[in-house]
Amino acid sequence: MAEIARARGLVHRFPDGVLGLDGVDLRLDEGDFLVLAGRNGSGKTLLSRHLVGLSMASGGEVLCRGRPVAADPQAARRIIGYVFQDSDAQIVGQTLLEDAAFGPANLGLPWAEVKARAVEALSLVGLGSFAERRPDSLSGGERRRLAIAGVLAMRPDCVLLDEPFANLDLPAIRSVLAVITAAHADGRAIVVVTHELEKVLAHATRLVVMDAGRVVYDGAPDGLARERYEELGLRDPFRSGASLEELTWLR
Amino acid sequence: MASVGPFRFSWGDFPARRFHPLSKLVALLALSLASTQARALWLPALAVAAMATLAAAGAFRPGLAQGLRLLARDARFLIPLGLFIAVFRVVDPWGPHLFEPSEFLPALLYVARLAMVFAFAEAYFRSTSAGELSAATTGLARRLFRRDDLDPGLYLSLAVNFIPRCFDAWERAREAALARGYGGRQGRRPRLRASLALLESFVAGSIRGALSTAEALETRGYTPGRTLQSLPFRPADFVLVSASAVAAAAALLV
Repeated sequence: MAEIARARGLVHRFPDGVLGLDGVDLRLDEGDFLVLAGRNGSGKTLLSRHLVGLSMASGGEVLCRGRPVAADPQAARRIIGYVFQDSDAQIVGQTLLEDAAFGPANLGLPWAEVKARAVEALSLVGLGSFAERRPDSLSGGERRRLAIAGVLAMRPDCVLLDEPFANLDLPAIRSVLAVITAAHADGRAIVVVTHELEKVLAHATRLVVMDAGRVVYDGAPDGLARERYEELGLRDPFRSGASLEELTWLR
Repeated sequence: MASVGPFRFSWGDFPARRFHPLSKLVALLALSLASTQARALWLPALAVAAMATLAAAGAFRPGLAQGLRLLARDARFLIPLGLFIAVFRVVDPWGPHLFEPSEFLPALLYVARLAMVFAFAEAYFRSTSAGELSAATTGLARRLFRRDDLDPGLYLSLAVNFIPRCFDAWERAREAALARGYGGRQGRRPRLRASLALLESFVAGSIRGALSTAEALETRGYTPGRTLQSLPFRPADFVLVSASAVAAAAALLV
């Protein structure tokens, strides 16, 4: 599979000297459904911000399609669509359609194409019939799906979602998960940043676990030794004896 | 997110929705000017125009009675304003008489004029989304200055988005303070200190919100040369602009 992005020896030192990332090496390929997990403060959100050029590295580099992200962050953001944990912060349109159209409008496409992409993205996330509604009339789960639609409308190669299930109830988690798995089935690489492994691991092709700014596991979703979950600040998703396939929240 | 923005836009195939945002803006300004400046004999005609404009903006779509009830609820602020104006004009402690009942009717007329301005503005905000106005403003600026990298409309969109977020930040800061005993029986100095802490928390929350929005714009590839929503200026828009200008001129001069 072709490479989408790669972090090489990535170091991030905060102004107070604390090391946020400590020489991270990570490769993201087409077709990946990567779950990036770790305890709070392990560096997973910071790493994802580096992938889209929102943070400046103190050392090492991030490449997107072979080009340094720092040199052209805009190009990286067209390839990797970033969905914030706080969906409200991402919403800039006064209607769902206007919001979903914001990204493609920035690509300089003709308005008819912009609108078609926005309508398609809203349909993909199940909000097609709400196109003219105001975002503040949506529920938390719907707003999260709107944020994903805004990214999908830009047709990126990869969708990176930071804690997409935070503060959502079961139906909303299922609806967001369905959208994410559909985007993956559609050929997009997916990166889900989370510490709630049990909600998404069944659909992953790869698990990456971070601790203290380092990648401490990178492999199959069910390949991490069970005794290590607690040690890494995570809840063992297999504690009930379920298999990887049985973990899915879509059933 | 609180819904406190001025735009009450809701989708519907209302006649007022088919006009260009800028032609409606010109009509709003002209009719508001006429409402505040025209002689009293014009007011009934302007009132009829205001009701017709509201109807064209779909204000009575839920039914006339329900529509009027909702409008009255939104226009509640006119009551204290009207009372203030009436008291200010009728009570004159420095004049020959403390009460000037003859001023009551002009005060009432003034409130009626304000109510009409409210009605025209309400019709505008009900039939125009901030995004449409933003696209129209940017389109106009680009045409006037012949530059494709101008985007003043985005500031409008962001401001309209930012107002509810500021209210949210304030509510969060206030509720957090209340949960920790703010507002209880305190002396003046502790209360002032607590209020300053609340204000600090609000300002910090608002700045965080602004930074998040800026990052969201970045990640969504914002560029000042973004494609604008196509909003054609149709012959009907020229008719609206001309008619409202003529109505305003007539109301002011006749």
